[in-house]
Amino acid sequence: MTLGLRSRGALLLAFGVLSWIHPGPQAAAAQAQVATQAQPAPRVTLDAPVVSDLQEILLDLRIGRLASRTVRALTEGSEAYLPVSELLALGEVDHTVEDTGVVRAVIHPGARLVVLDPVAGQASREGRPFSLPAAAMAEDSGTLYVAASVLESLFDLTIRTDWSRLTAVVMDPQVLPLGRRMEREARWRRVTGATGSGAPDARIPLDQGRFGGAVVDWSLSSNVNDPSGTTSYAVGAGARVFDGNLQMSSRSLGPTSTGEHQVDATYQTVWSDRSWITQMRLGDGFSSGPRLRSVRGISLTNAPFVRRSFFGVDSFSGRVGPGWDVELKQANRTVDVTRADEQGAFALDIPLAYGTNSVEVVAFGPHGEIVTTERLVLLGTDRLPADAFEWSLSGGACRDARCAGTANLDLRYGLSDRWTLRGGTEAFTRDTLPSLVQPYLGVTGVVLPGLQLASEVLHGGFLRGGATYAPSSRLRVRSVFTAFSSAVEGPVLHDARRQSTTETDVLFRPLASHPRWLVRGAWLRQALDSGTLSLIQAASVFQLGNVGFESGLRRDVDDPDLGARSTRDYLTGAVTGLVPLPGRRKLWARGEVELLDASALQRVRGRVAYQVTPGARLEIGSGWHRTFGADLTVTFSAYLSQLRSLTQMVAPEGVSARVTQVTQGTVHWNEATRQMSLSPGPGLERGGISGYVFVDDNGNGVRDPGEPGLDGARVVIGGRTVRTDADGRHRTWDLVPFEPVRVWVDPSSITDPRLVPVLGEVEVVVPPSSFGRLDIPVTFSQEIWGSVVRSTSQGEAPLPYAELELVDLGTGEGRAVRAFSDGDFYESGIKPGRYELRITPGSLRGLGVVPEQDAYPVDIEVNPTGAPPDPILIRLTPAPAVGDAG
Amino acid sequence: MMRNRLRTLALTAALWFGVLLSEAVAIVVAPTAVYLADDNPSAAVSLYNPSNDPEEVTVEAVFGYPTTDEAGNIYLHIDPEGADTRSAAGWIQALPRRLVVPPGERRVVRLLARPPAGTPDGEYWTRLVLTSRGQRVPVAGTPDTAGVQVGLELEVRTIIAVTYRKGAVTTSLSVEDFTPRIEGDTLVVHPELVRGGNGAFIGRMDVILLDQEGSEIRRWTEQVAVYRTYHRRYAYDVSGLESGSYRVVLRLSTERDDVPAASRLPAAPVELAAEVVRP
Repeated sequence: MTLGLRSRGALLLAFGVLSWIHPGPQAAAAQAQVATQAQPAPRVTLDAPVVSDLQEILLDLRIGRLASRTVRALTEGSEAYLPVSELLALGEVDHTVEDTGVVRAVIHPGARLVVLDPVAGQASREGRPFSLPAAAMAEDSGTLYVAASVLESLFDLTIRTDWSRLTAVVMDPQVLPLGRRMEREARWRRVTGATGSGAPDARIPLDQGRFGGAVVDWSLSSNVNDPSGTTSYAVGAGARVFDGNLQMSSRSLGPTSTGEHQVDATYQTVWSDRSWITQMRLGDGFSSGPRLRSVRGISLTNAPFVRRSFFGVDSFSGRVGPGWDVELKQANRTVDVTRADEQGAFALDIPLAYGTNSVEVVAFGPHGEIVTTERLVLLGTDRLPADAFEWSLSGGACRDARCAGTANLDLRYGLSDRWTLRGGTEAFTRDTLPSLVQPYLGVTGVVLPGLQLASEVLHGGFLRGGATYAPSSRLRVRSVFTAFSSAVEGPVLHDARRQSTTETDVLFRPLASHPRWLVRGAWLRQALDSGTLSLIQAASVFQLGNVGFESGLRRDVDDPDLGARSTRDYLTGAVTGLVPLPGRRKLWARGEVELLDASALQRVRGRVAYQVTPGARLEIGSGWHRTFGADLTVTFSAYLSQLRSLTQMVAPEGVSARVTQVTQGTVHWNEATRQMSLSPGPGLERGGISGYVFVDDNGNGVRDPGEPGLDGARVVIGGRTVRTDADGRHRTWDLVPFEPVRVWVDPSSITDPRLVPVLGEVEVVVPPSSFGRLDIPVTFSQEIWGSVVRSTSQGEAPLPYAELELVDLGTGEGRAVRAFSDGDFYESGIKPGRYELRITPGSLRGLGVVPEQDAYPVDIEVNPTGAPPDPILIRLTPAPAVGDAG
Repeated sequence: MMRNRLRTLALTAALWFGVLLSEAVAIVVAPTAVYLADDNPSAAVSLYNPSNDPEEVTVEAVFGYPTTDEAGNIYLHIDPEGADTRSAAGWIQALPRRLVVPPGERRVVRLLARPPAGTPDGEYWTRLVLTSRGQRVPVAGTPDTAGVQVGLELEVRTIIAVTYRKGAVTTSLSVEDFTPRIEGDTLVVHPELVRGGNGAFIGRMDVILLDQEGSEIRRWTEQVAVYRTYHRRYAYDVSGLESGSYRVVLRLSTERDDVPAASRLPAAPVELAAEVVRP
């Protein structure tokens, strides 16, 4: 059976059968393949080396799954000779073919030159001769053919030739520019197609009951040697009241035997849907403004309860070669892409988050050239986006002895995305000293992407200015100078003895190839009213595998106005590592030593820690200090399912050992289930969600009596995963209250594949100190199927690959359905509802047919019996000729 | 339609004897055996398309099991009506039943067993037939018509076993006839295996050839699946064996590495021995 014309043809017959010998791994599809013999081709004229008896053949040359082209090739035995220029062109390799037949290819990155000279029968790679085997190349009609095995070695490729399928496939396309471009474009599609986290399918209110629940944190601490005289306690309770969080706590001040306690109470509420005021707090808490202090009173603000880490988008522009692709990466993730214009100019958007933003700009040339640039963008938490305005106001009684009453008004405004202005006033009333009113004004911003400036003046307090320079992740320099005022008697916000401080620190990674080698330096100078204190420090940290090495120098200088200047130098060294133990377990160990003035031993300490179980850890430390002598510390901590426990024994030299036991935990009460539960906590200032995943038999979205819960369903709540219990119940605590979280059920976790969640992803707001109830319905889905046929002169024939759309008449949402090659279509997972099935106009273009009906109604009812609906026949008839109408 | 499909299935079964298995498969299916139970009635089957073209896949459950004909040849017994009391084909549901697996991607077909009420305890069987067909245009040519490549791709069927166990399931094996003999250079072993209990005996068979001193000379290992009876004829090359008397030991057990330990049915191993003479 010969189907070849000039070249080899093939008929592939594929049948299969498998695994009737139950059920061995030998099960594999059988595929019979019958290939015709190649016909002889004209003898090819070669210069050197001579290859005889070559057969001409047509091959499907493929670069992985990315590109293919049918090419004329040659064959000798089992070796394929591929047209090198066509292979390089298909792989988008930068290459030229000279009149002499010499092929020059440049492989990026690295600009490695590969030369193939058919006349001399030579090849070279990166300037070095490449040893060619006999009969490596052939030339015919000006086309250079090279043995596939030689191409593999020259270009570091893997080429698999399949004579039965007549294919030559480059198995590692990522080696070639085409492969890298396709990978890049896939990333681009993900970036450009991404719409952030997307909108949820629904935002639904939670059933919170009267209270929703309550939470109590408790803690007991005692010295085992003297329990009655040393026991102390702390207990705090939280509950939802008027949608806010009421929290009360009591703790003993020192041992309970002293009878002194402190009771705190706070009520906080959040209005996330308002812009002019978002939070109110009554009772005990902290003041507003940049200098927090404990206060009993009121606090109001329009600042968000939880500030999103995302700040905004900044632009980054530059210039590369015309037409180059440029992409922006953060943490190895592509976040923006663009293509340089005809002049090579480009601009990218950098999504910025509060903190340090390390970005990498990678430019790709058309032939695989790669140029990488790194940038660091600093974004302090005191910055606001352009035109954003926030205010805070607080006032009340001071909780410490420095003042009787205090107030703060704090205003912040984003002058631009780069500069933020902050102003306000601090106020204090005092019992014996005069009251203070201290206005302040500050500005912070960036002048360059890696240079951040900040300054602030506080009337009667200080003048501060600072700069941070971090051009890349390898270098960061920070310096702050503060001059303190002495105009105020008994200042509250600074230490009256201070006159000025200067802080400078440097962080440097000397070698880009060894980012785990870090050098740090710091200089701190404090000018006091009694003299000057200085600290100079330098340290090197190097991580090698599981072992870290630290070494450093520290100089303390005390230069009093009265008395002699003293200087002390310390030389320190430490090794930290994991020591392997039998059974693949590891022991954490650390040793430290410190020398005074490079000669006398000042301090030595060693510690080991062992993770006994996933929740229990034992740590033993011992050391010696020139002043305090030797000591031994043994600590055992346990994180159990119902409580946390810390037991510590400290045995200093010459003093009896002291054993302290601390136990902590949380008690939850869930109003919906009327259940009490224990957890290790802490649980205050958090919230929870609980409910059922159930089969909504009647489709009303509410769990009615008799509707069963689903066992083992995976519920994802705010990124955490929980499984429902045997009754279908889910329960999650430790969520941020007042904040929205996304909740969805993983359909693949539902045992019955016919069941699908009624809603995809829903968004709910977490209530404070209680459980919000969320019952998640699932319902029986259905399949639809049918076929599309068209009228032809021979009768009806299936129309393959027709594009259909299934439109939900309730929501208007469409779902694409594509027919198979035999004209049949099929779709599963259709939720109950009323739908219409339509064939898209694009499927009919050029066919001259129209559907008998514009739309086919599809009614899916809740149907646990699983009986599928009848098949749908979409019949296409010849379109009426123009003019027929009317 | 169903009859035609079964005919095609039978054809592929017949071809199995004469066709060498090719490494090229349209889709890769895992696992090759699925075990369901009344307390675990669902499972997932993964389909991977290693080819360069999208593959259309149709999933169908049919009742069948391997057995042997009178000549000792193995074949897949198909019951098109699914009326066998051990058939689960009627109530094992696959979702989706038709799908497209894009090149280089993976899709999942989920199975759900819904036995009718009152189904007695025991083991029930079905075969999942996954028929794949490439969506590639079958004929491609070069623009200058200098040459033509013709590719005609037909269906590739992958068949995996699905077993459902309800209640207490046991299995055992007895050997009704074990009379090995040496014919020329071939050792012929043709044991008749009869399954006991209410579950299939899925295991291995070791055929060990011992000399007169009891030393092992040759060993052959086979996988056996005895759903009811199994009377397969095995022929082993013993060329080079000196004339004389030998002993053939037959060992059968359910120890089989390719069956998950949790899914193996325990059964007492069976061992028999018989004398053979090489003239």
